[in-house]
Amino acid sequence: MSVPMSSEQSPDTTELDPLGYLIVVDGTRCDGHGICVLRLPERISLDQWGYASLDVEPIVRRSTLRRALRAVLACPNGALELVETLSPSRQVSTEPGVGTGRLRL
Amino acid sequence: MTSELRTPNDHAHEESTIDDPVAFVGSVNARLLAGPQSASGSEAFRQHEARLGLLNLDDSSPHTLRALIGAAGLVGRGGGEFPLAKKLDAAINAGATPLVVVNASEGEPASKKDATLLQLRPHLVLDGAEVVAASVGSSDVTIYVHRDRPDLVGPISRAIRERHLEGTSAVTFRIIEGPNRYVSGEASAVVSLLERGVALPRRKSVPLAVAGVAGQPTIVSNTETYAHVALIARFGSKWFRETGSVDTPGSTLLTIVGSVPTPGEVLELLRPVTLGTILARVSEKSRRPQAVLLGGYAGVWLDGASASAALVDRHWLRQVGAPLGCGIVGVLGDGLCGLAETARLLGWMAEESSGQCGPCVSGLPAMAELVFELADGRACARDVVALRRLAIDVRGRGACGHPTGAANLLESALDVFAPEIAKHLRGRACEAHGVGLPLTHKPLGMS
Repeated sequence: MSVPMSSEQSPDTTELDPLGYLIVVDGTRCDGHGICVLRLPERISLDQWGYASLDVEPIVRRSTLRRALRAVLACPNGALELVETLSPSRQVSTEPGVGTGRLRL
Repeated sequence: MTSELRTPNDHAHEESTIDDPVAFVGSVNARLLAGPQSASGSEAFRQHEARLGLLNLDDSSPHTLRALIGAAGLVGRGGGEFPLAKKLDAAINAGATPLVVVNASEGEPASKKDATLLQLRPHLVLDGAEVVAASVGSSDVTIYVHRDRPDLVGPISRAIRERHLEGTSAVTFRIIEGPNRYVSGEASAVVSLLERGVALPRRKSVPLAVAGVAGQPTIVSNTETYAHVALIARFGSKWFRETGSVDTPGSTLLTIVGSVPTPGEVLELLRPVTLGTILARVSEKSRRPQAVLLGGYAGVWLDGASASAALVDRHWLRQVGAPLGCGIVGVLGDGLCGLAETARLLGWMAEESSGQCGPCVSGLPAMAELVFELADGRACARDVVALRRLAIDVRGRGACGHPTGAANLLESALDVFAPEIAKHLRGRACEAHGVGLPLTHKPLGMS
């Protein structure tokens, strides 16, 4: 699945695939720069040490996804990633909600 | 049997009968632990074959074997409880020939079940690994053990040699040693060791069964899981389902540690009974424990009453939020301090962090330190709030389950030992110690 980043035909409130996307952090890469929070404050917070703590709810709005992508690109360590959430039948992971697909941009 | 030969597994309790839900090494009702007593040592290949019959896979297609494992409903016994057949199917669907890895690291210091199997019934584990390899069309099996474990490497390599001499092995076995650290037995750390020689957990965006070592499908499963497969391949899925429950078929191995007459004893549970029933079997003057740590050091504390009434069934326990994990039952007797014990364990876990993820590096030592102060009567109510906050801040963070495990341990301790915490907060000097569950080194912050 590809995600058109142009909003010409799609207003910001457009709902994406109902299963949406998750923004995830690789804890081994996050050094707590905190830039991601400025890009997506409603989904990312900083814990008591300043490391990024992410919302586990899938992103279903196009406007949110666009800003999530900015957050991903803003991380100097490349610690963030957007992943497609898959239906439970296609999941092989035991972690609920975490899919196997990566976002192709 | 003479008393000199008695090891923890040669139980002093009454003999198990055929209908008994609890079995020990060599009991008539045992399945994984059936065969000679522990004093006889490692079971030789010929004895193993004479007892269980030849393992003949010539007429079984990979598909048949996977279907058999699927029909048995076997789930992983390292703690993940993931259905093995599902893992095998995922590996097969990934395309390339999968790698088969027996995770024999048993990084939980209190767990003795995998060591018991490898030392006493090595051919059961190797048989199972051969079946799993055949079920995915692989001819290589890697056995992963921690370094400095001649007590494991010895019997495993002897067993491999025996099979080689007998000319029965259809697969090539190799033993790989990794660092003796808690997190180095985590599946992604095992893969990382095989791939680049460094046993560090990493974030898995794709399951290892789909893409593990250098992108190759990699099946990493626990030692006991493979031993079950050896019996399923011989006696079938229906036989396997005679034990356990509908939700979690098959017997399960437990290691009982702490306030019991023979800590480190391994037993096999044939069907779900309450933990109280099991404890009555290992301890003659069985009194209700003060608390029980279930599932290992990343597990949860249960108060004595809840623990005694808990049904020891993987599915049931998961439903009530106390997963059985790798089968550790840590008993805390009366007069001991659960907070002191929790502080020890958290201090050890803080040292065992691989140091890769910030919340784990910062959070675990902070937890350990505050629980030490609490156990010492030096903490205030605000510190308890800070501990709750710490548990929330490390849960689900990082590349592996280590910080989440520490959060489980801490949060359950704060709940179960709440009355004790109230006493400790009033500045009452606590004279009691922990139960001294096994650790591989001194915990952080302990002099």
